[in-house]
Amino acid sequence: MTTVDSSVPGRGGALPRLGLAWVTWRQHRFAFYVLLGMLAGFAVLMVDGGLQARSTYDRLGLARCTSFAGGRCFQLRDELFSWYPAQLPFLFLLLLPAAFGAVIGGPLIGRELETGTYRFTWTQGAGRTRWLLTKLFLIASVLAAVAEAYGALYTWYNAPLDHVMRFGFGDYLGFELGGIVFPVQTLLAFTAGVFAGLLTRRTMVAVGAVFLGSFGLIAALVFKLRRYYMTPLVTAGRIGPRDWVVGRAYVDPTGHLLDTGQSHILFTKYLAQLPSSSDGPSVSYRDWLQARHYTIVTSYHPAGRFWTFQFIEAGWMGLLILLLGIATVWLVRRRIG
Amino acid sequence: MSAGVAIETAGLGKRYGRTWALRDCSLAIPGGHVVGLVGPNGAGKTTLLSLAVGLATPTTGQVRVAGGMPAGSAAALDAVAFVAQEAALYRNLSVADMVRVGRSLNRRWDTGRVQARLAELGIPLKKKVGALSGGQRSQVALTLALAKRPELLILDEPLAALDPVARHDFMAALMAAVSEDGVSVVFSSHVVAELERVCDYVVVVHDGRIQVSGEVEELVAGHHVLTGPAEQADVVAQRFPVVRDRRAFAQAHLLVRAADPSAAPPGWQRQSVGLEELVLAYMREPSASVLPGPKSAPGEQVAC
Repeated sequence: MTTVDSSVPGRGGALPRLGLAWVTWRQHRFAFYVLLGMLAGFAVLMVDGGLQARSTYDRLGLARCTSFAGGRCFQLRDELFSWYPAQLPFLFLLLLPAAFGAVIGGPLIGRELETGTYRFTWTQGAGRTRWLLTKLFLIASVLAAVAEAYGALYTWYNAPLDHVMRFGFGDYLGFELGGIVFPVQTLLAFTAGVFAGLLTRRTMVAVGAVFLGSFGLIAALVFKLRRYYMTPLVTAGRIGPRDWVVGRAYVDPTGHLLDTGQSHILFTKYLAQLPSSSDGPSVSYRDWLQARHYTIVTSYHPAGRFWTFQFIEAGWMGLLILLLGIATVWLVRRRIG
Repeated sequence: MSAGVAIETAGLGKRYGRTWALRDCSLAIPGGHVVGLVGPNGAGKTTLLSLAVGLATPTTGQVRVAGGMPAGSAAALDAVAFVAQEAALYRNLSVADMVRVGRSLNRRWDTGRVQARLAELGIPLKKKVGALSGGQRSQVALTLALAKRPELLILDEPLAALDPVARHDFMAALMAAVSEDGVSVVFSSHVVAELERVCDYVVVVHDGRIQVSGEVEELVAGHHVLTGPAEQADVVAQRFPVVRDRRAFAQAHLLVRAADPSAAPPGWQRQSVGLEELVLAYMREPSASVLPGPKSAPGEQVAC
């Protein structure tokens, strides 16, 4: 064998320090700048709005209120609530995990396969496993940090309102942004994007499919599925602040729970007995039911379940992230080429 | 390198879906050569090279490279450099950044050599890789491959996308590198005409099987065109394996594999063949693969 020039630097040595990190940075720095720019824009909005909210809160003197059940404090609370812009624009936050995850995850392997550059990168001394793991961990860390920053900013902005309104913990955006599920959702979309890019070998297909899929999943969780993580408690009495109401039902005088059809018939009866003209004495549904010895029962998740729910969601998503990650590494090592 | 084996395969096969891209291939290419891997498009050249650099994993059998390392192992990735088809570089990066990517991904890296080569070629470092000409891009890919100081350099169709001038320059650069560090080279090509000038070893692949494998000198010495009366052609064909059989009127031109065709009947004329003609004859006559390949040097096995 002809000996290789032994004066060549790094013969048989280690990989350059931070070499893979630099490669990751160089290939994803544009995405990083965009991510940071968006976060900065959002931060400006949230800090500005949050400061104004605090001064409004102080001006109204809401700090002196202990209860918002009625009277002056109830009015002040409504005033603060109407000061806050409509909650609706913030629903775009529900899109972020899917968008960030798909746009950054999809091309990670997908573009390498699509353009053929994997044939360069995966035949270098570092090897493809190391390359992949470095990229996954670095980018996942940045994504998680950015997602958590969004959550922290929103939570801080919303704190004055949250203090006086005490929404159920599963209502509005408090659950999304006030715990750990926001970064976990982002990481799930990211890992799914990487995996889809690997399978389809088409960047845009992977990005589109994973964006729609992740957003669909998150929307389904928020509006439909999350409440089934645990069996709700049922009470005939009042529920506490931040308890999350997931359903109401009626119990007839003999103690039987009415199903939807029966409840509907009951309500029809109530409507039928109402005076036809508007001048007659009207009775509220609740009073009408009470007079007939029906009771209203509320299904709810007590406020203390906030973190339990957070951990349940982070748990199954974390497991899925792990499985997708393992499958990705395995496929990259074994099946490509 | 002469002691080691550049690429050694045993029972190697690769199947994509239901199609075998490469099948039951046992091959030993000795080191220290410039090896031309030829065959028609879709013959399995790229598959064989992908397996050798570890990009693909075999369905059956195994590949060892650069003196016995399993293809794709950490040691093999250090010792083997690969220039992929169409120089698969990051087109959105500048040449300087592309070089830094290479340096960041390798344990062995000869920065001085890269700088000297790029300066010599007059390739601007600030230019995007995608904005370079095809020839320049191939030169950058070759530069990055040589910077690893590989023991084995594998190139997949390095000439396919180049114009004649760029081809010439590329091969000149490659040959200079070979004489400089004695690196073993295996490159695939469907352009047969290039081979004679640069290769001293040839492997012909056809339809997923190896048809021919051997040193150019031995191959050329071991084949002859015999010309004689057509009525005796069948007798000759029984004595020697015939690669190509052409008969025109009373004359027969047989390309036979025989080191010493003096056993031909009297009246037959013997002519030597060029490498290009020889390779083309094998490529045109896939059934010649039924015959065992030319006798190889001791210690090498060819049984694909």
